[in-house]
Amino acid sequence: MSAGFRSLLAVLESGFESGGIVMGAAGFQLVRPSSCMTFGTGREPVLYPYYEDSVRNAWRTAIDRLEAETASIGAHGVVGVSISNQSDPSNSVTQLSLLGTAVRVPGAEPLSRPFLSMLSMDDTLKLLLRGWVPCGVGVGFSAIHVHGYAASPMWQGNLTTNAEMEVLTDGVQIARGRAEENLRESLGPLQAAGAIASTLTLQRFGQSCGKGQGVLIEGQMLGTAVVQYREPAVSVSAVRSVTRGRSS
Amino acid sequence: MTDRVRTQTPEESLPAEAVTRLRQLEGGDGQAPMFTSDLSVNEFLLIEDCDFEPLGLVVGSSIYHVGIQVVRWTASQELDILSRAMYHARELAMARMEAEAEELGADGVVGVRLDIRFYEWGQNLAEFVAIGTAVRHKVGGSWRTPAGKPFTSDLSGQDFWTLLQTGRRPVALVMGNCVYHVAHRHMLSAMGQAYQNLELPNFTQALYTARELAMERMQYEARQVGSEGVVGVQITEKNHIWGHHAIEFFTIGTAVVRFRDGGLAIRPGMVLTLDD
Repeated sequence: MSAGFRSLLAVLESGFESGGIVMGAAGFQLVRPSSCMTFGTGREPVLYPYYEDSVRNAWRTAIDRLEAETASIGAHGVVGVSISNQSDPSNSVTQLSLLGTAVRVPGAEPLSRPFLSMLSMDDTLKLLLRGWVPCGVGVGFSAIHVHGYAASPMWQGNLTTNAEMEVLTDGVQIARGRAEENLRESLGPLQAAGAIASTLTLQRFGQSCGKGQGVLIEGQMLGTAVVQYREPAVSVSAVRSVTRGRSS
Repeated sequence: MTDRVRTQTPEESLPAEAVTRLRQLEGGDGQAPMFTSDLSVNEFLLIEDCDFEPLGLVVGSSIYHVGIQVVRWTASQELDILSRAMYHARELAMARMEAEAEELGADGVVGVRLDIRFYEWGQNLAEFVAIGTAVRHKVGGSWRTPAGKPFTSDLSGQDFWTLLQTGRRPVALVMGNCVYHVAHRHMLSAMGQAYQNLELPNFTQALYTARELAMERMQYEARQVGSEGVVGVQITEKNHIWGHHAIEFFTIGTAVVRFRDGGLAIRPGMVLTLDD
């Protein structure tokens, strides 16, 4: 039985009907800062709020368009949202596209805002049976620069010894924290209990810094918001598969 | 270094930004509490079924400069500077992740992953990241370690659920490592062995010694937390960036203790799946 067919069964089992494939897309020019624009000798990481806002705006635009297309066909939500994020560094163009399957409950009133979920319909059905429902997709993004002075073992006086690079460590923590904070802010209007199946991506790039090379750290966090709407309808029972070896 | 709130030792303390963010997760500043988690749907539902609730994604990291070690070309020996660096950096990342869980008031952390990445732009710089989901038991009870810290475990939500059904609970993630240098053969010896199929005892011996040292260190940690045993042990062998003659053996697993008498609460049943 294919995964697609299983998902279709799950759609039918949960009382939804499929409304077709929907998409939200946005192409933006997002210019990544090429330098920290300072002399690069401090120990405090540099924030790029304007760049962060621009990236978040691109994501928000794509998500809003997916919601608008879903609402326009009378669907109540989108499941299995997959994300494509293609960037061309030569011209700073980023193309975001979100694709998913619209679902609707026959005869039900339209929602003021359709729900979005990156979860498969199988997973959505499991949540529904246990009293939870997905209510939206959230995105968080952050960008932090660490000066070359603070990122250099030589300048930090530990060229030959074991030592933690404290400012770089802090930079990563700040990037991750800002991305998560931003994810929660994006989910705030949905009054979600939390976000599951979240992914956290931290990328590091060499970046011009004074006469040396600093580090740009970009953090991105994606997740599906969930909210509890009733008590569980079924209990959990265990099945141990004997068709595979030990799980990895 | 940015301001740190010293919740534990200076090395385990959290940046002020992290404390603010964690308090927001708990519902500070008049906001409703909201968790974040990388748990899959199955894991989320199973953890909820054992009366635990997710509190938030907790992360600890450390970017570390690995020092220089001088070694004799023809000697097989542990590279203790590298062993210490690889262990200490992981320990820092773990301790910071635990500090975040503590700040959230968690009973433990499940699904912990420990990753290492070496940078192209920073010679001998490596980043160690520990990431997991902090959880709290809805009813309470003694789930913490003997030292009063949240438990840590690299078990998945499914394995965590299964472990609890057997009357055991995780205590701590325990680990051991050893970076070992494998002696080079003398040129004449290598030439004499050319075109022959034969065992290279120096490589074999190095693998055994490094593995034994790593396992012994992990078992020592498990004994320190009073565990009954270690489950889900993973052993990895990697050269990282050091070439073929330096290997790191790394072992990690979840130390467990019994919290309830009785045998298996689950009995295997037979299900024929229609999928395959």
